[in-house]
Amino acid sequence: MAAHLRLVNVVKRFGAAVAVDGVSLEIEEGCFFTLLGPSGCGKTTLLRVVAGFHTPDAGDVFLRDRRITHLPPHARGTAMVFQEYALFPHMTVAENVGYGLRMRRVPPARARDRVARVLELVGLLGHEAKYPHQLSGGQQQRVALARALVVEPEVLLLDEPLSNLDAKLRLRVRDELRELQRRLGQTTVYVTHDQEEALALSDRVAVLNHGRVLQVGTPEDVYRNPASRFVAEFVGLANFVAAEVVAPGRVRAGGVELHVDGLQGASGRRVVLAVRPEEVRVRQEPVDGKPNVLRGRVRSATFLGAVRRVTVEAAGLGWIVDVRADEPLAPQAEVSLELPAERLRVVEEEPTDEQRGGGRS
Amino acid sequence: MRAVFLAVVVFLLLVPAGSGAAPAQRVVVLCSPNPAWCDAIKEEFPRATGIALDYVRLSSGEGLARLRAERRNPSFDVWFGGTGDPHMVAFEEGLTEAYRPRSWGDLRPELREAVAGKYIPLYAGILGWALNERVLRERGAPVPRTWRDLADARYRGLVAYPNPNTSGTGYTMLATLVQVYGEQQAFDLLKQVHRNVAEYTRSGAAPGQLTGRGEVAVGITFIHDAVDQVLKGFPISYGAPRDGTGYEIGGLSLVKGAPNRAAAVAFIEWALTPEAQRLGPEKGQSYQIPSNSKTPIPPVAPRFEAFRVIKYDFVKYGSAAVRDRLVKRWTDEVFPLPK
Amino acid sequence: MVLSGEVRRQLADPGIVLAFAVGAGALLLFVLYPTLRVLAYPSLADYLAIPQSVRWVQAARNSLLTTALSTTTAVTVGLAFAFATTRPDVPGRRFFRAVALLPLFAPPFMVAFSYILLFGRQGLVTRHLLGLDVNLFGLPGLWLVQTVAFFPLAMLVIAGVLEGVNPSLEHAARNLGADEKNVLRTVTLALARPGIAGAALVVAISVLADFGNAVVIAGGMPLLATEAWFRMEGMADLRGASLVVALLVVPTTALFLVERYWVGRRRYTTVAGRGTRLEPPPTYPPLRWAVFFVCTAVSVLVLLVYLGVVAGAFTAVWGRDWSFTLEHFALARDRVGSLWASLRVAAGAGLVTATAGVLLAFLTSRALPLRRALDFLAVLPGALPGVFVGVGFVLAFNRPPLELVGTPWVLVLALAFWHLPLGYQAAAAQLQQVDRSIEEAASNLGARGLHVLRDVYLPLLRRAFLEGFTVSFVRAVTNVSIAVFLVSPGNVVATFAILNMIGNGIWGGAAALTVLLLLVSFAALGLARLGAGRALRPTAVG
Repeated sequence: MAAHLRLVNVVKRFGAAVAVDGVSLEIEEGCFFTLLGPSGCGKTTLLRVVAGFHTPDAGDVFLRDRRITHLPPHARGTAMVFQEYALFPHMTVAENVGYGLRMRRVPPARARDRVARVLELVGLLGHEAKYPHQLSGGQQQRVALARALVVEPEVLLLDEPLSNLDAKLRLRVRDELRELQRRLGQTTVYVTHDQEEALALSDRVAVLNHGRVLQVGTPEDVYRNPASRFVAEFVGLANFVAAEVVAPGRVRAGGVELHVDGLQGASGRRVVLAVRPEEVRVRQEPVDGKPNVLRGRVRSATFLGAVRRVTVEAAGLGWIVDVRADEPLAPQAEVSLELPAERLRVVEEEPTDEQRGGGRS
Repeated sequence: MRAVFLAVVVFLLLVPAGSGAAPAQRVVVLCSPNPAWCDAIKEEFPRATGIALDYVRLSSGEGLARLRAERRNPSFDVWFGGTGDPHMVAFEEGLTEAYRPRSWGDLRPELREAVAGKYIPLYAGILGWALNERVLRERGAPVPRTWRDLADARYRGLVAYPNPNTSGTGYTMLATLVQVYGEQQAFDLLKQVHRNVAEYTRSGAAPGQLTGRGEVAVGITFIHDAVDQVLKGFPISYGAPRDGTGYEIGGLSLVKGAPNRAAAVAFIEWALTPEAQRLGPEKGQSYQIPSNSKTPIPPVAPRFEAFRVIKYDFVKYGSAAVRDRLVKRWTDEVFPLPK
Repeated sequence: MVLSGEVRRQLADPGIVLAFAVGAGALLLFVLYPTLRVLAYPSLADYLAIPQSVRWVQAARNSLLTTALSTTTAVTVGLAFAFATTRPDVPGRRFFRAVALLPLFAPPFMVAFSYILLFGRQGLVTRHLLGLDVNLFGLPGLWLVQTVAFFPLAMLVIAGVLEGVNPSLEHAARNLGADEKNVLRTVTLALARPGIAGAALVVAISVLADFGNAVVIAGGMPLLATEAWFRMEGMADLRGASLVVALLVVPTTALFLVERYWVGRRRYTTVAGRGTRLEPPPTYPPLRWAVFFVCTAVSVLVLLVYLGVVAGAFTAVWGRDWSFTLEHFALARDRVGSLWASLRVAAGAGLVTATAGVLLAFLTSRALPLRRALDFLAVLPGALPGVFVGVGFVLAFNRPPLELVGTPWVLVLALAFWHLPLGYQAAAAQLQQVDRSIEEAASNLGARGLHVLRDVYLPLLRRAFLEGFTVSFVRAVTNVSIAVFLVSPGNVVATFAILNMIGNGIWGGAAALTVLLLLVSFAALGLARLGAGRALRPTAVG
């Protein structure tokens, strides 16, 4: 599929600080693409570059074949929903939503139609004459969304639009948003720091840190096969094990030998492995004859509703394991942990001597 | 923060406040003549007597108003200078008391009689005008000769005289016109002159300054004020209307209920001595004719003989009823007219 | 009257009751009483006779005319400056901001005086440079002078509103297709409208009540503000003076109420959000240059005000002898007592304003009976012209038991309570930001009533205290309208002495004393700021 939106080596600096450090991305038409990362990672800056509020110091932005890098915001074909909504307080809902159409000189009758249709889409029909301060937070957010959608942009840009809503509302709006985007087939770039949101909403996710893209892929990809320790830690929970390669497919960690599927690497290399809490299998009775089984003791067990999160001390390491809520595991209980060989993955490798000169970010 | 608070409080307490932290004796003077003269007495009187002197400079009209407002609890001890009519009103209203100074016999008899004991004469000055002949020439206006001439349209925007509400000089002019032309005609004339007036000044000496600066061409003022401007180097001449002009007898009054009566008396005695009266021309930039006959008349002071001075009825036009009525009439009928 | 539980709890604390009594008593005595005295002094017949008096009618008409003219131009200039200081792409905006604040430090008559020196018949610019014969007295001069003197007020109000506009709004508009001109028209100016209206009202009140400039340059044109003083000083006509100020207070109060209850409420507060703020987008170029041009021209006029006075202070005889001299400063040195008097009075007024402001803000933030009435009285002086307060204090305190007229206290108190709204509102605004839970924590640990005030609020209110002191001090040092009514031997303040000198044509001395007054007040202000700079450092609270 041809890319709808393409970023090529975009760099943006503010003074001495580099906010976006050579980012390249390709986003297909109709894709819900999320930029995910902690605050300060450059995701909002990147979004603003796409919108045209910042001009990159290097690199380009292409919309289909058009180079839009230096075009002003109103000539790009993008529409942004701001984090704080940025609704015009002196205009009614209808005037707010119709603003973009007014600027495009759409005849009033047609504009009224389109406004009504999009308001229906977001479920706000009947609120046309209200002013922003008369609406709830969720309603304001929907007006902001409607305002962006009504101009039928090529790309819809959303800057952490759910962060000002309370938890319950956030879930509901999130679902509606996804549903809407699918229905319209609207190419969307979404910025958030909330990894659960990213996983739930996206077709593809790009994880950023310090202005660089660390991994791009589907939510499942990123979750199951994190490319680095940071990604593994940032998206979901993970247990990390520092180990030393003994032979292909085998490492030594904490005095225990573990099988790791598909592991390459010279003997003696140090690596870090990751395994998700829900991937570890727990049994009360000892297990014999199976590889990757550790004997340990439960330190704490926290009931979380759907799962029970248990911390276990085994092989000299602390482990976070999620078990079914009805498993009666209590502190001090003795358990066996089984680490499936196919679930252990390398997320970090000891850098070679040449690489070491490069410095960590 | 507390430091700031304390600093301010200490400052307020240490630096002597107005009423209170004063030396043993002081006199508070309502001073109406030229500020330079007020400065001079402030310096000289303590030197001569050891009594401190504070003054507030208010023109004679304002001075009267102040005394009236403070009737119950006057803050002033003595009223020094200013045209006589307000002094007369003050006496009539019981704001000042009659006091006969030791040098009464030395004072010029004609001045003493004219004020009939209602206040102590301090000096005499003749009413006239300051003229800026250059401006007159530029505007094609002739040198005026009578009061009536001032109504001529050629003097549009070129005339200034003091507001009778605030200035004794202004009232003297008003009363003079009434005595020269009769009341109705005087007011008719004033209404006509009004069109030519650039400004009604607050003080009596200001018209002379405006003339000196060329802001106006004819400034009605006491001639000795015009002389002052000439001495300062301003290119003006002076004169008086030929159809009759008035004069003032500057006053010196003891305020009734003065807080520092003894010091006030000492001041009055001192102010009438030739040494004190000489301060007027020497340091005070004031060239009136001093009331003490023993004081030499300043050479530049305008003399009665040089001008057509009317017999000004001080008692009548100094009475509160007449004064208030005339001033009110001027304020209501002349001042608000469009220009 | 049934008191709620909360109210009863407050009243149970003797400290609070005492504070309430002091605060309410001060307001009643120094705000309400003088006001009522003035209004009640003329008889009903006097009031009814107003339309027949040519003089009052004329004065009223003139006042309204000058107000309309000066307000329009002052707000326009203020708008230009507000734009210049809030858009990052207007060159020289820091300079413009600094220059625009200068007129606020100048005594009211200084602009008029300086312009007479520069642009009058003997003006340095008009006569000696351009050879023109210009009579500055009267309406044209007053209009020019009031525009320059009051545009900073307009600028402050409008800039305050513009700064509150989230730049995202402009970006959103651009993002939706608006070019720079449309953004200006449909978003920026539209959001600034309440600011413009508010500025117009505030400026109009100041112009109506303007005494200092009018008395110097209005010439013979009768105006309400100057009439009152002429009546008092010229004829001891207290009744007439009261009548005039009562007449004047009607439009000023009306404007004040409109601003407070209608325009003030309609401020568009944009939803403040998290996230880094974008810079505002580029300004519509023709606007940018128009604003730059206007600001430059007016800045020159403002600087000329100061230059004119400084030049006048060093010139031997203005208009005739341009040689350099220090004589005038020698003369001014003789009047140095008046500078001390000004500082004393201003310091006293500043202290009282700051203290009363903090105390009253504290009281009105709690659930106490008559809270609304206290609030109203505390802001009421904002509606009153200075001359009204002057006459009011003369009437209220010239007899026993409280015979303050003639003492320095009457001037200090009059100024302090006239400036009260400024200190009160600063303190109230800051109090609003204090989280109630801090107080609850304190009272939970045993602090009651006034202790809460002392331990919790006072440290947090330092900034408000200082602001109240500063603004009251600056205005007191330069005040003319109240000083002329209440000056007395021993507290002849500098502004009065200067005005006297101007009226007597002693221009050099007046200019010199003005320069000294400015230097001294800037220095005192600087000291206060320095000394309290330590106080303004954030304390570790909460």
